[in-house]
Amino acid sequence: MTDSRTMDRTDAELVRAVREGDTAAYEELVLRYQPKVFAMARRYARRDSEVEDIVQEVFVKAFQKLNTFRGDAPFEHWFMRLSLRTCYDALRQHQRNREFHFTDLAPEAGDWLDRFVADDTESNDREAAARHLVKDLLDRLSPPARLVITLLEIEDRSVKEISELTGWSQATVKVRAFRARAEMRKILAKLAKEKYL
Amino acid sequence: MDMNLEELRQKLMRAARLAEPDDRVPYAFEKRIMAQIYALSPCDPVQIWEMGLWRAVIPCLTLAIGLLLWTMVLSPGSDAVTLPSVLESAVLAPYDKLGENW
Repeated sequence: MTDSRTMDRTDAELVRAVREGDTAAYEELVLRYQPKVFAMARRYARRDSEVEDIVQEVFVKAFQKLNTFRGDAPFEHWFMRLSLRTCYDALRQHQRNREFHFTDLAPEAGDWLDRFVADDTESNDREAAARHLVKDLLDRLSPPARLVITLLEIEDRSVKEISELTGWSQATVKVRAFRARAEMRKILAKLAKEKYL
Repeated sequence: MDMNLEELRQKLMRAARLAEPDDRVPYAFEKRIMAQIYALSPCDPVQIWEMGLWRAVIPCLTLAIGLLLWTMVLSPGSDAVTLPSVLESAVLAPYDKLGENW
């Protein structure tokens, strides 16, 4: 149960309180970070039903590993790194058939693609249809490709930041980004071939 | 039909960037998390003992293999050499010399 005392405390103070046995203080950390973790989990979960499970796993894992937080960087960095790795593990665990056929496209996504092919200035990147197509496309990428593309091109993070978040070297991030872009083009090429030939 | 795939890919990425992240939280989610946290069973002595046993497996195996190699190195080619016989030789070595001095 939260009270006014916990609302003013910093992350470091709350972490210290939890480590000293005040488990209730952890609820404030959950309240502070759950929106960010839900947003992150929704980027990587393949189904809506997985999102809540992933977020629960993040918070339970963080609680169990709180003793490993050394405090030499802000708690948020440590926590978001743990969250991202949990999301990535979930992506790898729930890999399933990633075959993508044009018949899988929602009608509006197909229409959007038609307009792009006819005249690429006609298709608006603000449309929901474009976002549906992106989601379908991301669902078909391999886990490392999806992770690096999401961080690099959707969240606009630097290679250095991605390296720190994932634990991959910067060279690995760059190689994976290159491969991820190629993977996306391959999927789109297959889609285009099925739809238009 | 000619399609610039990289341009299509970049357009789709722009669309994804424009989408606001969905940070909605289900009602009373933090309560469910805290219920799970409180339900995490505290360590019991048996569990700690079991964890200790598992952790000791590799060091014990290493020690056993090391001792085996040590006995083999000490007496290469001798099938009759065992750790007890080596230990006996080591312990009784002073008495062997004593016997010679009679």
